[in-house]
Amino acid sequence: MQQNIAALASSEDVVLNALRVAVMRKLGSAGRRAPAIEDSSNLLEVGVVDSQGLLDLILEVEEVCGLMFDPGRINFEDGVTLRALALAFA
Amino acid sequence: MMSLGDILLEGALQHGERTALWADGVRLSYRELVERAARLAGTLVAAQLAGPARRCAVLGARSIGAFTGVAAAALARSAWVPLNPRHPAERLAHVAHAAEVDALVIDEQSDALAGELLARLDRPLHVFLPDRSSPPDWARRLPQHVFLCRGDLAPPVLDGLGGGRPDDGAYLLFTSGSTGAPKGVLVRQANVMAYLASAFDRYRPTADDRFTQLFDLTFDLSVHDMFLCWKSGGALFCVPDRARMAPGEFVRRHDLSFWFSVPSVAMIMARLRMLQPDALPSLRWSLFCGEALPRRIAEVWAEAAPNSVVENLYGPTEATIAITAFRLPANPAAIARLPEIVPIGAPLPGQQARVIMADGAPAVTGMDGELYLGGSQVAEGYWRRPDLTVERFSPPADATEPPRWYRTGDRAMVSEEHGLIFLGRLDRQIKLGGHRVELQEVEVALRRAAATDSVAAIASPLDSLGLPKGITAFVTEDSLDSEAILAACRATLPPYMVPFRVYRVAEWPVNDNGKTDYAALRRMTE
Repeated sequence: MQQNIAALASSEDVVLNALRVAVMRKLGSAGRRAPAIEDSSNLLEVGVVDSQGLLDLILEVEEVCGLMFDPGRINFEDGVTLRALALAFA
Repeated sequence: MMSLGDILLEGALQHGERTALWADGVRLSYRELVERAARLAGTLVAAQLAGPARRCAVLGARSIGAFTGVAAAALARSAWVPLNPRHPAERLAHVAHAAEVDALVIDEQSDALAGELLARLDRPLHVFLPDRSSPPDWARRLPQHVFLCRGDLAPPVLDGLGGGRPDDGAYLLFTSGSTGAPKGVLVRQANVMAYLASAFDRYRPTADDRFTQLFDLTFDLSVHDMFLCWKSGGALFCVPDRARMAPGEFVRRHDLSFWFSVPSVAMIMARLRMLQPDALPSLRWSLFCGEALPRRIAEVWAEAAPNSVVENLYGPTEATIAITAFRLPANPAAIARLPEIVPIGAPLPGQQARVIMADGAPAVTGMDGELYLGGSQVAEGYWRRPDLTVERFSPPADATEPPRWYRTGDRAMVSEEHGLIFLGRLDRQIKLGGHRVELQEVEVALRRAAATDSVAAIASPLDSLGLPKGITAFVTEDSLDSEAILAACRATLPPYMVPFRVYRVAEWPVNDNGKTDYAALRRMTE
C-alpha cells in the first residue's frame, strides 16, 4: 500500500513537471514572459492559456507521459489548475 | 409586428414567476428580469435617450447585469451595442465612438475596465451602474459623463415601453474589419423577428425548455439564445466561464434541453473524451453554428445526445444569426456518409441563397462559386460605411427579388443531396472558435506594433481537416522584439486575434508581383 501511494505521488509529480514545462514553453513561443504560475493558479482565469491551448497542453502531456487524461476526475467549474490537471491523469 | 421588447413584456405577463435567466448561481424570474430592465429603460426614457435613434452600449460578460442591459435597450426601443470586457479598452472605445452610443450599462464585474473605456470617450454618456449604490472613485475624474446608480433609476413602470417599428435598430454589432478597424452591422427589428419566427417554427420550444447560453453578447448567436428562449417562456442557463470549455456536467446537472454552440466546444469535449454515448440524454435539440462542423464531431455528438436532433446552422452577422440550416439524419450510418464538413443545407423559409461563379453565372449542381444571401434577414449595410455597403450588399447580376442581398465572400457548392456545402473563403477572413478574423486587421496591428511594413499573419497551426487553430505572425528580423510586438497587439486586439507565435524572417519572401509570398511563409512553419 505504502509503495502504491509513493508510486502514485511520483507519477503525479512527473505529470505536474510535464505540465509546468509545457506551459512555460507555450508562453515562451508566444513571446510572453512567464508570470508566476502557482500549481494552484487557475490557468484560464489568469490568461495563461485559452481552451484550445489547454487542450493542446493536455494532449501534449498525454503523449509525453504516456498517460490518459480522465475528465471525470476534474471539475472544470472549480477551476483548471496545474495541480487539478495532474490529478486527472491516470 | 412584435418587437424584442414586446417579447419581454409578453414573457412577464405570461410567465411572471417562471425562471427567465440563471447566471452565476442567481435565478431571475421573468417578472424580476423585466422589472430590472424597465427601471433602466424608464431612466433612458426620462433622460430622452430612448427610441430608435439612440444606441445603448452594454459592457458585460454574460452576467445578470449585462442581460438586463440588453433587455433595457429592447424595452426602450434602442439598439444595444455589446462591448466585450475581454477586449482591450482601446478597441472598446473605438466601437463605442463609432457606434455613437448615448448610454452605457456596466455590469458589476466590469467596473475597472469601464473607467479605462470612459476616460477615452469625450462624447458625454449616461453611465448606468445598476449594481452599485454610489459611483466608483474613478467617476470623479470623468465629469463629462453622468453616472447613475441603483438609487437614481426610475421605478419599474412598463407603460410606454416596448413596441416600435420593423425598421428600428435592434442591435449594432462590430466584427473584424480588413482595413484595420472593426466594422458595424445594424440589425433591425424586422431582420431579427424574421429569424425568430423561422426558429420558433422550426424548433417549437416550450416553457418547459431549458437553453444553454454559451455565447458572449458580442456574438449575434447570443440573440438566438436569449430571445428564442424568452419567446417560449423557457429558462436560459448561462454556462459559467469555468465550465465553458467542457460544459457536459453543467448540462446534465440542470437538465438542459436546447444546446447551441460553436463546433469548437464540441471538438474540445470530444478530444477530452467527454462525449461518451448517451452522455447528454436531456438534450432534444443540438444546434451548431459559427464555424465549419466536422462530420466526425457531429457523429460523436449524435451518439452522446441520442435524444436530440442535430442541426448545422450557417449565417454571417450581416444576414442575422443564421440563414441556412442542415438537419443531420437520425441514422448514424447516414451521418457517416455525409461530407467531411457537414453541409450548411438550405435557406430558412422566406430567405434565399445563390451560388454565383466567377463569370457571374449561377453555379449549377456540383460547381462552386461565391455564396450570396437574400431576404428579410439581410441587413441594410455596414454602419456609416456606404462604400463597403455598396461593395458587399450587392445582388447577383440576374436577381430581381428580394431587394436585399449580401455577398458573403464564402465559397460554396450546391449539392443535390445536401443543399449548400461550405468550401472556405474567397478572401483572407478566417474563423477561430467561431470568431470572424480578418487577417489584414491583425496585420495592421502588427505593422503598428513592429514599426515595420513587412509583416504577415496566417492561419496556423491548422487541424487535421485544415481548419485554423490560431494565428501565426511574421516580422522582419530587424523588427522590435517579439515580446514587445505581442504586448502591443494584446493592447489593441481581442485575445482570439493575438498571434500565438511570431516568426522573425531574415529574408522576406515575395512573389513575382513583389507581394508577400504567404505560401513561402507557411512553409517556414512546417
